[in-house]
Amino acid sequence: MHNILLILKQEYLTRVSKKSFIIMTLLGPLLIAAFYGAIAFIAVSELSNNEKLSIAINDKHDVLNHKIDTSKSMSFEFVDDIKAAKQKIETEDLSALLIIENAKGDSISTVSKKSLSFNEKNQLREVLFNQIFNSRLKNSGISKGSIDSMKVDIVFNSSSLSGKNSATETKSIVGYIGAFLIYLFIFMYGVMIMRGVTEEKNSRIIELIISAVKPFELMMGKILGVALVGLTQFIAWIFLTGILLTVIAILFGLQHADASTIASVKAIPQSGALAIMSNFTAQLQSLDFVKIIAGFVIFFFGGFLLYSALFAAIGSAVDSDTETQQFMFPVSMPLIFGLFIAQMAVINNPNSTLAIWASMIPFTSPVVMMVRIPFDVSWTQILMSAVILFCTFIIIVWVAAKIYRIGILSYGQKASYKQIWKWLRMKE
Amino acid sequence: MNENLLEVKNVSKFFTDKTALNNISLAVPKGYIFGLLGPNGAGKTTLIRIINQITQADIGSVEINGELLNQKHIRNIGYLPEERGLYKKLKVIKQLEYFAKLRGLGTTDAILKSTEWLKRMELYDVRNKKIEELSKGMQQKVQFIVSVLHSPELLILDEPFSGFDPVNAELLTHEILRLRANGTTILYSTHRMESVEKLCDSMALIHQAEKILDGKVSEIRQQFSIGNYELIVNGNYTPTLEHITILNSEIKDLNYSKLSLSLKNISNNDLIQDVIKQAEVIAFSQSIPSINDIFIKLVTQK
Repeated sequence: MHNILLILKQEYLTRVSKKSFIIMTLLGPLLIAAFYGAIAFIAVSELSNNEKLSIAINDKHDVLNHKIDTSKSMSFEFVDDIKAAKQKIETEDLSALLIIENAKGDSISTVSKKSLSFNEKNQLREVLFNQIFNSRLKNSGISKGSIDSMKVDIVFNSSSLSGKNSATETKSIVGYIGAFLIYLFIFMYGVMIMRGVTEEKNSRIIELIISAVKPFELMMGKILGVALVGLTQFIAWIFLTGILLTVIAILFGLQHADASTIASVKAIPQSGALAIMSNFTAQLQSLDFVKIIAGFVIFFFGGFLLYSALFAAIGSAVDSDTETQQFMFPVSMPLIFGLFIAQMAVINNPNSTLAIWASMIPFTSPVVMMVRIPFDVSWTQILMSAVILFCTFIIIVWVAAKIYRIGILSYGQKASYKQIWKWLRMKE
Repeated sequence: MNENLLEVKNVSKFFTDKTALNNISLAVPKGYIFGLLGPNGAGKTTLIRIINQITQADIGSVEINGELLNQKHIRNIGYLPEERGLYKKLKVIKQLEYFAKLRGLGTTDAILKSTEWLKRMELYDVRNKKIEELSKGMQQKVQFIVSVLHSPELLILDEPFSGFDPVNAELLTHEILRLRANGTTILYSTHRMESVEKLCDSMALIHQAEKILDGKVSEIRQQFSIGNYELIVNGNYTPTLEHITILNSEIKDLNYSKLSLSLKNISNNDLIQDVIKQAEVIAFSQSIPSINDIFIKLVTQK
């Protein structure tokens, strides 16, 4: 135990003080923040920088009854002289000219210097539709009020038995991000362990070390040390990202979304991206974070330990990185498959039979269970999956340690499955 | 007779396709430098690995101070492997501290001992450099320090001189002898026979998994020297006794000849008396074979 701690500490300190680690740790949150900031910037500039569009309408069939509401971002005037209007567009006194071609009002030509954006066209369409619809209602003697009273505005107030509000998209996003991070860290750090083992083997340090400690202690110390490095990086990412995002939020005036901000944001239909972001922030707060974080830690560690034991065994069996390919494939398959199932579960049904089974099978469970946890998976299921995962880990470590013990001292033989099988059956 | 620090008792080790060690027994007395000799592939490294508890013997046992080898002996053994290896990116001082701790030293002791040894081996100025920044010779010295940092009772050196220039080899020889003077027992595995004569008190020769020879170095050389003499005379000498055979003769400058002789059942004095009748004796000595000669003779014989 003393030795495991010693090796753990050594692995941890060496790796954490590496330049590449520090750069990665700082760069990750910066990229996330830059991405988030870019969206926020676009959203806000959409909102404020848009100058008011002044639009001329040529309505020779009088479809609109010469009435149209000006909105916050658009003002309208009716013109008869198309030529004069076009000249005004040329001098940029007008943004665009709409020519309503027929009495039905479904064919409209637009003339503008810069072509209208998708968003602007949509808004125009909405304004025109409302005007035409209302004027026709009026013509047929139906009051707008009676129509409005017939409309039903449906709002889903979904809640699950736990009493928490549920927001499916948010859960999917949170679960998927968690699962993807687990997947990413297992690969990144698993391969790091594998490289480390091969390096120690090739540089022949191994002989010196295992004359002082047991191979099992060395392997466990390495795995746990690197796991802590991963966790450190992860916590640093969360922490730094949190700070950066808060800074960005304050910068763009996106307060922590309470109901009123959401409402006010919703009231401005053109701020699409902004609304989604605020919504997301608000819904995040409704999630069961204790469960999600506990789940993440359990499955991050469990999955990581399980896979890194396998990666360590591979690293010990080969003489160089190029030889690892044949072993990497079968080991990484279940993990990739797990991520695939996780994606399916997010889109379809997080409680489907396939998803439940995959979240119990130890090789896919770290990723799949993580996706499912935000969808109110019972603690019983989580614990059961965790127990299976950790039991499998113990078995795998035992097998991996056997391969490791012999592998690290076998040079020059081309590693093959046959060879490894022979090692497994070798006595102490 | 010293008591034995290390005893290897009837050790055998089998690999799937060959026997690595066949019934090997060794006794290494306390405070001795014990040469473990043998051609490549003889089984030396396997035996060293067994003593280091890297692998286990299939048959037989190893004892240290009369106690069956176990985990706590790691503290008492220092090991310099033939295949050198250190963490390239790690600073010299950190490297030493880490290995000292792995061998059971506390942090304070580890730092103290590392500093002491760095100064002794003239490496103190480079203590904060990474291993990869050092010259090969310096790396070898660091590797040597790793093996002796924790003041082991038994120091196992596997080809310690490979990679050393003559100046550093002298420094190393000096350190090895100093360690012995302080009571360290040294198991010295090598092919370099001339260094065996210089350093070793006792030795064993392993060939094709078997021990074919062991004992004190001086006794072994004596044992192989029976009946061979070297004689330099002024003039010509032809033996008149049938017990004297000339193995080799060469004419030196002037009128001197150098003769190699083998004697059977007669004393040196009989020979001298036979010689002085014919020529003037310039020099006469027993020719003691070098360990190298013995090694080659035994290994090629088998």
